Amino acid sequence: MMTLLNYAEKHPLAENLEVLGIRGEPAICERLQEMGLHKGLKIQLLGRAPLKGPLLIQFGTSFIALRAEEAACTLIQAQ
Amino acid sequence: MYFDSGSVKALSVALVGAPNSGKTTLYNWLTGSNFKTVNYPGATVEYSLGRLAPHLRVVEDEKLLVMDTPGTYSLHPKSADEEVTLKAIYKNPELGRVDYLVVVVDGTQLSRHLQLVQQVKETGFPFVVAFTMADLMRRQGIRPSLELLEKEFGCKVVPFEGLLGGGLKDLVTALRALKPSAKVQDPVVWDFEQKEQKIRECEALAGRVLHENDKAAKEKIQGLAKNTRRLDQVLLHPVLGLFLFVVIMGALFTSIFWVAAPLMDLVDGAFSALGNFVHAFDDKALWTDFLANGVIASFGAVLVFVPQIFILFLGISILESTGYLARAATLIDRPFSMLGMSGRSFVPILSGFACAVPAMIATRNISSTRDRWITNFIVPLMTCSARLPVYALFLAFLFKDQPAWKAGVAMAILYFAAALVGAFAAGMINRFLPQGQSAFFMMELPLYRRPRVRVLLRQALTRTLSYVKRAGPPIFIFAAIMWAATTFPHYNMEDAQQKLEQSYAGHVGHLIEPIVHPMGVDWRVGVGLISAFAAREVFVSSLAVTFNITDDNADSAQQSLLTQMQTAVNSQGEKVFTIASVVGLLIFFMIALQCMSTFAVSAREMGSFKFALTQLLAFNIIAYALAVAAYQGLKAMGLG
Repeated sequence: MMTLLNYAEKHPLAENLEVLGIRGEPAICERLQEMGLHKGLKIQLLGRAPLKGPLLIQFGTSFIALRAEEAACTLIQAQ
Repeated sequence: MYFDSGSVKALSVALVGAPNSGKTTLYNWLTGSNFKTVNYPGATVEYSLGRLAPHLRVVEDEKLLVMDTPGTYSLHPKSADEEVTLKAIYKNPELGRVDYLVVVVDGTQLSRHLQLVQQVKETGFPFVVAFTMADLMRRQGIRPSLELLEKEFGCKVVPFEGLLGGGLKDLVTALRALKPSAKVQDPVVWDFEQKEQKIRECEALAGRVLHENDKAAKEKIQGLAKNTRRLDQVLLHPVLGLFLFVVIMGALFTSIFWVAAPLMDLVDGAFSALGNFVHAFDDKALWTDFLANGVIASFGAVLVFVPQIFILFLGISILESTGYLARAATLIDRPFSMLGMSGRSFVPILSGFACAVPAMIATRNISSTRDRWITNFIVPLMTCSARLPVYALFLAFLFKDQPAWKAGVAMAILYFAAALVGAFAAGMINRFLPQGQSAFFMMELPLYRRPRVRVLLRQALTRTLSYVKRAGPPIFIFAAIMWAATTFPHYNMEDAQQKLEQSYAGHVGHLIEPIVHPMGVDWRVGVGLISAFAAREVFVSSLAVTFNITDDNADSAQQSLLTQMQTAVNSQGEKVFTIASVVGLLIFFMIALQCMSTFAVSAREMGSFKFALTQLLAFNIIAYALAVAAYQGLKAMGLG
């Protein structure tokens, strides 16, 4: 189990990641949930904005940009 | 109440939905041209309110009020914007609690947007769901089973097509069938586990509605995202994306100047002509002077910037509705976060180049108080359109008889320098302001789509009107005060220059001469600087008065003002306008916060008079110190 941020630092792109959970600051977690992230969700990592900016993820027809701190609250596992 | 409700109480319906859910498009269709933006002085409540468009009414006088609210993901607010939405629904100053809700869900983001429907259902509001992007899905051959949603939530679900307005009548019919309920409760805040549970329920439901277990149907849905993914590979590319960002922003700014310039000349010319026309009735009378130089001139001063502001807002609307704005904010997030802001500060900063007033209002969608604080603090440093006429005059003076491109380059440098000063200020504050709770950025990147021209135009127009209404009255009042101060007590004196020198403003000018003297200028410029507190551009017309320019022709007025500036000397016989003093003045105008409407909006938006006062004092003291330093330095180098 690792955070999305750790993963993205090693692999710029990924087609098949599974969200294992959301941990961290409550406000960030709540907003991540409102954005539709939850345990078991399959996401794709599309890249990162320049200068180590936000990470770009896709799930279904949704595209979301997450800052490093937000990606650090998202636990994932590569499949 | 704004809309006459007659004897029957008008029913009200509020549209709620996530950002980019197509809420505003629906609102535009529902209200046609019967709308207004509501601003309550003293309260941070801002939303649009309109009457149902005439063609949708069953009876001529049907009174259904429709309200648009800022986008929100939930009824548990986490930014000032979302608080506005909650307040507008529950404690609306005009309507009290609204009667019905339309929950707008984007069909392409169904599972995520259903969370809000669940929350609304819990509150007990009578509601209808508008299922947007129905056209987009139909073109892909996707047939959602909306009856499943209706069964689950016990409400009508109406598919809505933004491009042609299909489904509008059905939606209104569904609204008519609702009955107001007395048992509406405050929203319930879910804890983490409950939320997890709800999301899973929404996902399962959305899956059934969109037939995701059918492989062919699922592929069609994936097809919706194909173009967006391809475009993002270019537009969010680490190198190419940044390059295109610069090109797109460059195009926006260039068009603000090139497209707006002729329109601004038109407005300016019309008001000058009107002023001259009024003045011609009786050029000695006080009332014509007040009408022409007080009322008409100050209205002109407000309205001359409308073309620029309209074009900027139109540009922002285009970027917003195509989906690019969220990408721009993402690209800029990292550099901005080094300065204590975030990508969400991008739109306010961008708007600051037109006018600080709408820019400060736009800071509401910044969730972190600290980010919002810093953004609001530096917004007035962006080169707003009111600074342009002042820059134009000084650059014409500095580059007289030289090729035009030099002044153009100098203008560009002034813009960049202001942005750099802003970045520096933000960086400094970021270092010294205590760290607040960490902010979130988290931005939904909407699917790219083609915008509707009518909605774009109307949105830009609404925002422009809102600006005029907000910035107009203070500018007008200050301009009227300035007129009185420069006219009385010797209003019937023949010699305009003497009249001014002995007027109240003239007295104040002499009083502050010791303060402006270190900047290398005399009392006349001092009067100009004071009058610039009404609106910066008033400085130019005030100089024209203090340096006794009487020519009515606008073009030659500028010429003769320049000639006067070259020869003007102070009481010691030294030249007033030299390279040193003009550069000093340019620096002063670049930094100083002279706009009283900005001050008022700043105090209101931040809910702190102290904040606005600190801003006012800090900017003006720093501007003054730098202007004096520049003047004295350049003078020592022999440019005095």
